[in-house]
Amino acid sequence: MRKLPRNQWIEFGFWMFFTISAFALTFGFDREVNMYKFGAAGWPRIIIAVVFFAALGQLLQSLFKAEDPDEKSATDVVSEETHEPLGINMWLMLGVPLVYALTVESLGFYFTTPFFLMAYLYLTGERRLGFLIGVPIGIYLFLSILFTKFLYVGLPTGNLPGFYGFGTWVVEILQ
Amino acid sequence: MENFIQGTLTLFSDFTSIMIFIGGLLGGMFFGAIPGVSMLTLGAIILPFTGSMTPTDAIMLYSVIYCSGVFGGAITAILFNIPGAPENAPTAFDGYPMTQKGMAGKAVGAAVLCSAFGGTCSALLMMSATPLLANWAISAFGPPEIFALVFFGIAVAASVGSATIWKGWLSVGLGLSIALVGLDPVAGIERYTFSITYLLAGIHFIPVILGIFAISEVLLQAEKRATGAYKAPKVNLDFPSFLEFWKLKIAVARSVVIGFFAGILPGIGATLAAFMGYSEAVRWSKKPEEFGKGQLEGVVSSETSNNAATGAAMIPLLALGLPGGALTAMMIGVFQMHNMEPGPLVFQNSSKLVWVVFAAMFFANISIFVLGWLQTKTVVHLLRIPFHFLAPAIMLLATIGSYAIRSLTMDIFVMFAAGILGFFLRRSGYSVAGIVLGLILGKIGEQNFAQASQMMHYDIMNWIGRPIAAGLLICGIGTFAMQFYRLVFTKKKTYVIDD
Repeated sequence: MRKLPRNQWIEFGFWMFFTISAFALTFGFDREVNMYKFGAAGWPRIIIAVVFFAALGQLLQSLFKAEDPDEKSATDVVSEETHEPLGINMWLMLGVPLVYALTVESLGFYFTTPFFLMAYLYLTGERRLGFLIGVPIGIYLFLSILFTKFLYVGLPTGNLPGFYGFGTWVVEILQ
Repeated sequence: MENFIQGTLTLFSDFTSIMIFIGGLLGGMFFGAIPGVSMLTLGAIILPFTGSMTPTDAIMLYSVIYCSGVFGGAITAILFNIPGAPENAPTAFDGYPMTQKGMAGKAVGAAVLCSAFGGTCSALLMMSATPLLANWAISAFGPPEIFALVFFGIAVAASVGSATIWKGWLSVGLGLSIALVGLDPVAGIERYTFSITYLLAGIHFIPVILGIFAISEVLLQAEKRATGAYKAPKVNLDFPSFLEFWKLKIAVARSVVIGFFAGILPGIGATLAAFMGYSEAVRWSKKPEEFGKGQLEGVVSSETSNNAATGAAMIPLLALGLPGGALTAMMIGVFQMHNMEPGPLVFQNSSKLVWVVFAAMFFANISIFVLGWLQTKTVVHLLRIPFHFLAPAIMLLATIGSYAIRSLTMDIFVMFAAGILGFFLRRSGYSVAGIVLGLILGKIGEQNFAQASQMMHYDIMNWIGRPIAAGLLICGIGTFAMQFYRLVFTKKKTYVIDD
């Protein structure tokens, strides 16, 4: 048995939390169904059991399979190559799309998208002002025209006063 | 043969028909390549206009769109990890890693050739045996067989692209778990909805696919760029050689058969065909661990299968009046707009229409080869676009694609959340292919399991009386046993990840 790095325990903890909470939640819909013996919770419990045993298998393999220092397990390869801690910039890169996704309904696609693209470009390391403004505007205009004018795809116009007006104004211009 | 020649002459003797044929071909390719606005969008847009066409032209147009639309999504799947449609998702499993290795031309070329070949074989089979095959497939394949097919597919899915077999199972399990959200398929009881209205309809797989493939890829590349490890993919226009294809002849033949039979089954269609074709390629391979890392066979199997399903899907439609999927259902609408009903009588009453459609599908697949070859030589140059142009465009395309399906902003959130989850899972050696396979097969599997259990009166012995189902279940169990055997008795590591 060998000592596992912390991230593998975190992974195992995640899967345990996932399966235990998913199993506990099955009691909320564990009702009998006419003509179907297994009910609504039968299939989910099978899936949860599969995930549970796979997580356990992964842990046991990591603990017992790679004792020989010359023989690295695949998990070692993973931890060496990809478990580098994320920098603040990367965390922002993960957060910005979520903020965009949460605001797009109220502020509208047409208003938020250029700012989102500019922020994203900035985070990926672009510092040239011309590119920071030009690229997002170019992509935004091209795709907005393509989808709104030619493919008739309705995109969110926002629902807050002012933003809704702006969104519908852009749609009118594009169409 | 005489009927086919007659159909061909009718198709190409009229200028309007030729223009409709070309329009359908290019339109299908274009719409198929854009996530969110699939060939179904095109089908829906043009539906009202088909009223002014002749019934033959209208049905021919839809059949051509079907052929080229299924192919179109392969290009973006290979070049940018954005499957244009769910049936192209398995193409991305190996197609995109090939692009990263500088073999984009080879991957796109393989997709072109195999799409054309799979579709042509399917069209030929369709022409030769439509009524016979339709009756057999409908009677021999019920819920038990479909469940057994899904079970078999899930068993194989765990070995695709993960760091260990356990992580493969966790990936598939996660996909199956996501598929649980929504209403249960038997009684409509809410599961894991947390009283959120959006979740009642379940988590749609298109935002998840777009997030898990496209967004996670952009994030991974952004991370590499931030750490200085980013390398732009090399642009390579090499078409696969004849020898490379000849080596894969068995995979191609197997995928044609799988795609064709999956296509005949109503409600299964090209998506399951592509996944099953890919899964079988993995299962039969001597090096299954190489799949998901840029195996030409992966692209070949997926693209052959999904296109082989197109011709097959026309069989139940024309012979029995049963639509196999959304686009064939639209074709029923077209028939009805012209006061016609598809079914056995179509062959007697509208023989000309049937053979024009058959000829159009045959030539559409031949055209895919020619147009696709030109596309390979041009579209691969898109890879020359610098990352700072490409990344925002991919993000925006994925955003629009996920929103366009149901006009729900929550789908955009799900897409980005799936992308972030995919980013972390890929960094940790999990398989995004496994997640997607689990998600797509989970819904089909549960529904058919429930129906099969009721049909079999919960008695396992009744399964033996259905040889196809029993055979597939035994193959699935055998696959599990083989995976476990390899795990326990193979000392050296077998799985290596590519991230």
